[in-house]
Amino acid sequence: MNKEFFDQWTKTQEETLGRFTKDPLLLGPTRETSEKVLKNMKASLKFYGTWANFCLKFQGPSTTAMEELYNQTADMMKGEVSPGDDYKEFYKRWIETYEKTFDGFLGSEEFSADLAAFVGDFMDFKKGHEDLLEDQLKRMSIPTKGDLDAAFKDIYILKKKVKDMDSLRENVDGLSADMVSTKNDLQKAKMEIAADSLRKKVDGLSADLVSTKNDLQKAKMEIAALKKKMETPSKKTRPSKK
Amino acid sequence: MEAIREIDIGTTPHEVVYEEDKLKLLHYHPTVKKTHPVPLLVVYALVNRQYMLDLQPDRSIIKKLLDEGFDLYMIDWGYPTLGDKFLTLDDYVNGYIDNVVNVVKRRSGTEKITLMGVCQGGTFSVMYSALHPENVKNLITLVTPIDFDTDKGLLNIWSRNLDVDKVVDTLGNVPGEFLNTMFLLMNPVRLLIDKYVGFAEKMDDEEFVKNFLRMEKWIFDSPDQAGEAYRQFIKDCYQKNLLIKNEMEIGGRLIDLRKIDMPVLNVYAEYDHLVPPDSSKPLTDAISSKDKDILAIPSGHIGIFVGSKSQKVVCPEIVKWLKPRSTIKK
Repeated sequence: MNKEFFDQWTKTQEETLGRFTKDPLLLGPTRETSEKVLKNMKASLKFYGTWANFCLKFQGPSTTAMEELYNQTADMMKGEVSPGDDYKEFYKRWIETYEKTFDGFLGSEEFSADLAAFVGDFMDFKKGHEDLLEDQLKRMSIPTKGDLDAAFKDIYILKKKVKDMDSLRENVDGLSADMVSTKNDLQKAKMEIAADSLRKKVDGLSADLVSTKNDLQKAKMEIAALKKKMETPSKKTRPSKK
Repeated sequence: MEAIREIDIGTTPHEVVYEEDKLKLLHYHPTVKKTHPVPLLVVYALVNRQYMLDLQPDRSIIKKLLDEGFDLYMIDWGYPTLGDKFLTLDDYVNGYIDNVVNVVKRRSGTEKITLMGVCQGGTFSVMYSALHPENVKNLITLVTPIDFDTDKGLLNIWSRNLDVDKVVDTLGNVPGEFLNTMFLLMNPVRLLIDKYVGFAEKMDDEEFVKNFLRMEKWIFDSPDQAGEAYRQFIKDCYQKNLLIKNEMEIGGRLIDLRKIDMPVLNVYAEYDHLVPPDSSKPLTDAISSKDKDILAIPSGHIGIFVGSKSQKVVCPEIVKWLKPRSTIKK
């Protein structure tokens, strides 16, 4: 199949079956489904065309490699032929020639674009086919891929929330532990302050007590001294009866 | 070949110490009496499975690190299902990885850990280290894409034109088979023909067959990719190249690579066809770490982990770099 034939085939497809896929006059209760069918038909035609084109592109390097190998083989066949060794040599050259030729082909921007088109058109075809299938399944009340996706998304979101909450709870647990520890420290500090204050008060009272004791002692001594003093002058001042 | 009824992979003894959704955190049983004080967490890519690092007992990076005294943890991302299609990069980096880092910190009683990211897991580790530098003592990146604007990798070229919105909106999660097809398409002649011809030629060698089957299992054991995370990874990294420009955001937070100031070892493979050296090397200049090293291994993306030659270099070099940095200053 050469390129001209392929192009002509694609054109013919577009002009025959392809015309149906462009029909805008779909009416009635089956309109939506019919539209999908036609859309899918178009995607199918496009995909098969791209697929054929993609396969066709492989012919170029294959032919090049075959020609190159043919020339090499002709050289090998000159002179005496040793079947065993020559087979190995032939195989080696075959692999190397094809590998080298395909390296250039596969690494080209053109192949990259063809590959992307092939994958893209296959996705369109697959999606269209699955959409039709889903419609059928819905009519039979069978859960579809779309239904599952919706459920999976909900589960994903819920799981994420649960994980976030777990993480938050761990943080809160950590903070709570810190708070309990801080509270205990505070309590201890308060008790220490209270004890210190009490000790200071007791110290103050003790000092007062000592001071009072000293004062009392002093007062006692003063009283004793006064008593003594009071007793002594009464003897001296007694008048004589002479 | 008939004698081989089953193949053993990921056999290094471990236990699951934490689970969250599909994720499991594996803790490997130490093989020495006293481990280094700073634990090591391996973050693998979402593509394929983490047991690549423990594929066969005689070529296990995990076992080698254990024998060198590291307290080793590794994330097993599991297999995302339809319900995981809404997971974002924010969920992976600021959710799962952050939770796992906190578990490892709690279990080991350390304030910081060493992160070792592989491929896309390396990109995630870089994002995490930029957003949470206070948790990361050392960062090791292995074959990690950071600068996506290169023509040296087919994935980089192919991703530019991909309509990722259409892919994710249609498929939800991106199937592992889709990615596998892309990987096979990168070198169809070698990966679909020559590899199996080589296998047929050595089918009498039991050890070869076992190792081949182990690798084959790993290659095709491909989890689906959570849709939203894939969408942002392709758009922001492969198409807009925002990460290296310090313009990428996850969960509303800007990822500024200059915030990475811890010791960093950046390991890349010289013949890597998946993550070309041009994509890995720029990390070293983009960060503000003073203590940083870059190491080139003469191998490919997968060979760096399982190749017999690179096995003799990769692990010893990581160990040499990491040991003196796995102590805690008192």
